Amino acid sequence: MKDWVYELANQASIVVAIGDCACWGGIPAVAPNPSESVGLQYLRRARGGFLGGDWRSKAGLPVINIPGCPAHPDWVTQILVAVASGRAGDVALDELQRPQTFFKSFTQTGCTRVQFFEYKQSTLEFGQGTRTGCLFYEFGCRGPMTRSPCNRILWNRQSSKTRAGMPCTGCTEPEFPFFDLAPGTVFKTQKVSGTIPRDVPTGTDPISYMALAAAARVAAPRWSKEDMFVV
Amino acid sequence: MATVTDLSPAGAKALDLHVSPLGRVEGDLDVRVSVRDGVVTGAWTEAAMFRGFEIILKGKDPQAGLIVTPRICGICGGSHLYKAAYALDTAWKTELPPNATLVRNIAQACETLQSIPRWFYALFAIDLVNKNYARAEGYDEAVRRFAPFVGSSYEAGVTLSGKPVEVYAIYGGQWPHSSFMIPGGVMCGPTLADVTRSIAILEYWKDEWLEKRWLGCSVDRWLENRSWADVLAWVDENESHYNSDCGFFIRYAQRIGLDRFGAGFGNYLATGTYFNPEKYARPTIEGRNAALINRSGVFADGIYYDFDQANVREDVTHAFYEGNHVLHPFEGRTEPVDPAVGRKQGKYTWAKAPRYEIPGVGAKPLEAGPLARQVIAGKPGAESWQDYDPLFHDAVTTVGPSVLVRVLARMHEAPKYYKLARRWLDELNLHEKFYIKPQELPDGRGFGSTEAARGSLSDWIVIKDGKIENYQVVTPTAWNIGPRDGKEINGPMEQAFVGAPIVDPSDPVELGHVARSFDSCLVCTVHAYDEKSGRELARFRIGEGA
Repeated sequence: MKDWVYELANQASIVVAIGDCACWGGIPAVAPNPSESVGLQYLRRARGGFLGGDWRSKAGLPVINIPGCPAHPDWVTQILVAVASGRAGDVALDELQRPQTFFKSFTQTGCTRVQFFEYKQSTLEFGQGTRTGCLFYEFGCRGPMTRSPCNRILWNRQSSKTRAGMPCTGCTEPEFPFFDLAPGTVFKTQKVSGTIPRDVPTGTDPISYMALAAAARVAAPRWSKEDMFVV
Repeated sequence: MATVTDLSPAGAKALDLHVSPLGRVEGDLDVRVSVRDGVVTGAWTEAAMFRGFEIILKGKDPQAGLIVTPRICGICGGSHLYKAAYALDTAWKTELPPNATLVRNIAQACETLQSIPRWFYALFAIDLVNKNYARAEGYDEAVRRFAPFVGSSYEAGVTLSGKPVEVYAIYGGQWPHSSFMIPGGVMCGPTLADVTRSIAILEYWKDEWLEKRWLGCSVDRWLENRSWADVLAWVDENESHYNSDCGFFIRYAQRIGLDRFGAGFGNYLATGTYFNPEKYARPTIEGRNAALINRSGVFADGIYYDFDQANVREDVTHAFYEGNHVLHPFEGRTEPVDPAVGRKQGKYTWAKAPRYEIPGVGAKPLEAGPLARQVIAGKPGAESWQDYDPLFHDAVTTVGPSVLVRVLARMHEAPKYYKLARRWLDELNLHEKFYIKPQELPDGRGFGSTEAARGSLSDWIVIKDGKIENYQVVTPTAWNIGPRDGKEINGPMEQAFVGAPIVDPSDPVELGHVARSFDSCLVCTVHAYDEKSGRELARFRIGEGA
């Protein structure tokens, strides 16, 4: 099997890795990685992988990574169409070799809960509790730190995890599943000093984020504490 | 790819066929088959991939299975989530509000409703247009309907198969690989439009595929069929039935002989699925059977038995794991050995051999899947909330199991599960709870099980000091394609190959029918070679993989 991948990759003008396993090892590579799984050009965030960090296809391109567990069929088909229709040059890649057209925006981009995030209003419980609030504060949602178009290109033409009340698990990032699923990390926001989120939205720092959060809570309008997605 | 050699000792045709598939779904399974005088006499199934999910789960967060196990399979992810959630419910002694049970039921049913047409058109029916059948009556019609990508039913069947999981996504956010079922309920809090949209989508799927294309009649008319004779009479009842995909398939399958091989042991296991919300408000291992809507049970050598998870064993005598132990999954061990070393000990696959210990009878290999479920549905003694359906008990006791019977059992579930899902949607009370926060107990044991589209799927979890001490998953594919046990008794699929006729050894499409009738994760290329010299005789494919 490994021989096939190696031979095919070196025959191909362009190689596209589809899904976390092919991109960076995915779930099988979670410690202790019993099957010694590795992605095509990464193992988790470390460059290298099966083909090596410097590998290039016949067209001179690195592997195009379409991560996710699963990768959305639309991300896959659009990139394949782009490549097949001579637009490989338009597929700008980020530092993890993901197409920026899909992976520059965040999972949070387009999330129906952004107004609750804006005013720092937390969902308090699952089920009926998800008719209001944001899942970032208590339930480990990684929407503000995860690059994906999950709320721009909906799943099964209907919804997304965060819209349906499920916290984003960050499955388009190489660290997924985060914290290697250590006890106490599943569907729970990891905090410093019991209150400050350990991971704050990408590009912010804990101190300025906490200042923003304090101001936002003061400004929070009454509706932000009520159910928005009502029966 | 296939290679064939004629060994021909003393005039008898003796061949060794090696079926080395690239899965149409996923995973790799090799099947080695010995053939004498054009009939399969022995088979060895070899699961070629090791992923180690049970090893990964050790020491992790108790809820890690909700994230990890759905990823075991891209097409059964919702079923993995369903049983993983119940394993935690029983371990943590949760309380489930009725709405949570209903949403879980709806989601599980919708995943299976997706699988039925997708499996039939994309995985199974494309073998019906194999060139070996070119002279069969109805072949041109089979090509017109079922040819991959261009058949008149293929594209519609595959496309419409995506509709039921749109309903799944409304509650789970996405399909596959959501983790929205959690101990104590579900994460979603559906609104009015979520329910009305779900109804509209399911009705559209039922109208456009199930009734218009597949049945050629109403769901209720089909469900009046209570015996195999009823089914055959239904075909000829009118032109609409006769010319539907179902009617045509039944007629064509009989012409090409799909009713005459692929029987297997005739022994079946269902662990059951879907719960009555009132009966399983506090899930326990002991209370599970009585709360099921589609029942659990074992049918062996013509006798029905109650299912008890305590009687499940996994035998690693012929699997690439340390030792030759036969353990209950709570004590189960997953300690891989190098296949090169294992082969010298008579081991030949990565699948363990699940067996069911019938008290007073002994360990039995049991077939899992829709046929197993529908045979168990004929077990007497159903409560008012439980499914009783005699059709496939009648089929296996009158005409006997075969590829045709196994396929129809799967298709029969489409109208049944559609009706259930519609009823559960009507029973949702949007003003009541969908979740009750549980206490996360540091220690406990749990058992969760369901019926994935392709059969019984179960988790056993042991939690100790707030982390996973042991996690064992027994899949329908393991039940079906598992190897011989310590007593050298075949696995169910190995047995089902035995007796299959091979008309053209260079293209043994019959093996594909048997394998795919189980809907395991396998088979699209075949190679056959001389058992003694290993010389290649022919290469071929039995259908292109999806």
